[in-house]
Amino acid sequence: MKTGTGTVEGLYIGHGEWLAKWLERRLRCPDRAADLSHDTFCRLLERLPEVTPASPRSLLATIARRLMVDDIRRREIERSVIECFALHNDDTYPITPERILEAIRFLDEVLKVLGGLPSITRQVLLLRRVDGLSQEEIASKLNLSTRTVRRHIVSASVQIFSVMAD
Amino acid sequence: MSLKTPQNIVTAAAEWVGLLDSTSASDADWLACESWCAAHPLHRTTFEKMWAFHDRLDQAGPAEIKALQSLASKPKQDLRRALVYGFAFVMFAGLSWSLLTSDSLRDNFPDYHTARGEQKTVALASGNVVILDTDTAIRVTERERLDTVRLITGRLLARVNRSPERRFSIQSTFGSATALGTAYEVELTASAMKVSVIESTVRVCPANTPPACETLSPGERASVDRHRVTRLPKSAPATFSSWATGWVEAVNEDLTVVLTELNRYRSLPLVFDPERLKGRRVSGIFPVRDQDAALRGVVTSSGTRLVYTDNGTVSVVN
Repeated sequence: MKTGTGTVEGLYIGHGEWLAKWLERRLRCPDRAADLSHDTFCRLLERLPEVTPASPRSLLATIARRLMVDDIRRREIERSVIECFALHNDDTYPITPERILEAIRFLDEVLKVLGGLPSITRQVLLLRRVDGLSQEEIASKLNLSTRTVRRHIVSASVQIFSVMAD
Repeated sequence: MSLKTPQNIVTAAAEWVGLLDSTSASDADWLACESWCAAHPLHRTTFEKMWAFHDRLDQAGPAEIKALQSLASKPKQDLRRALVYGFAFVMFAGLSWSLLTSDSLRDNFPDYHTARGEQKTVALASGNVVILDTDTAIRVTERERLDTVRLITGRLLARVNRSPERRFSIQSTFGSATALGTAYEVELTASAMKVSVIESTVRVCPANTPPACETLSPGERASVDRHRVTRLPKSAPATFSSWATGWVEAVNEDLTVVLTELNRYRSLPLVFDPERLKGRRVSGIFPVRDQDAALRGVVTSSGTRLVYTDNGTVSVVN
């Protein structure tokens, strides 16, 4: 049987309260548990499963657990961004809540990209983009050929697209 | 939802990015790429998405770069994969106890935590009380004769009942601080655990060298890293943990230290240049829950001033 928004509504009525309690037991924070429970059903609406799940609670718990991990990682990014913005303010681009939010989103994406790369590709990407070295300079620094450095930039770009398309 | 882009287009777009990113790319290469992009709308969107990301990374400001460097230098933790592997281990090998008790994994799921600007009091069944400061996370294990609090991040104040039958210990990556009937503060920084004793005595031990334990008395402070305990200058116990009553206290303190302390409670941080404010001192008691009043007090005491911008940023300047 195909699933649809009607089924999601059924899941919400049947298991929404259970999920909120499941999250609250783990997070010990009712507000955060309510937010994540809500996000879990939003995620389900965005990506409806092909068929009605045989074990709805397992599915909901899996989605919620992933969102919990994302939430933890995001909080860490947020903490770091706020600290660094406080110490590296420049008058040209004053700190605003929107700018902080944009930086958090951006760094979240960058870290997802970096997290999916082998360490050498990750190193090449950071040297090229963050340190501003040319492909030739990276090749000389890492004792690689320029062709190999370019290959790392290519595979990083494939990973970038895969994270952005996710 | 958009359709999945064919892999051959993704690969070709990435090849163009790799080529045009190099200094050896010629005008002909740029024109050839443009022809490829013009051949199909998916070519262009795929290429431009990749290029825009590289571009955005090139244009990252110093604060973003600093945050990225600090986050990227942390040990790689693929939590999702760790959870999946951990579960498989339990199911198929039955040898997962060590993984499940591994602190680095369990620390991602604190029992209690506070958001920025929030403080929380946690009463344990034993009657011991732990007060969490802003941005703090702990795990708690309550056993018959021992309460263990693992400090994952942030700062806490422990008020422990005097009971020879029951021990109370705060643990972190860097070591432990164990007490019998006392009040003491523990703060976790990136490189050490700082312990300040308010009442009675506390035994502090580094994680990797337990024989290097030291006993601290009221007013004594120590920094504990994995291998050693370093004693810090003594202070009056009454000056410790004023944050637990909602106040930040300073006695002829470096202004930048007080501003950094106030920033712990703010979602939009105060902006200041540590170099320009060097030498400015501040004294007073400032309420963390009323940041406007705290700021007024700090600038009056330090002889500085506040600059407000339309977007809500507050800067502290000379």
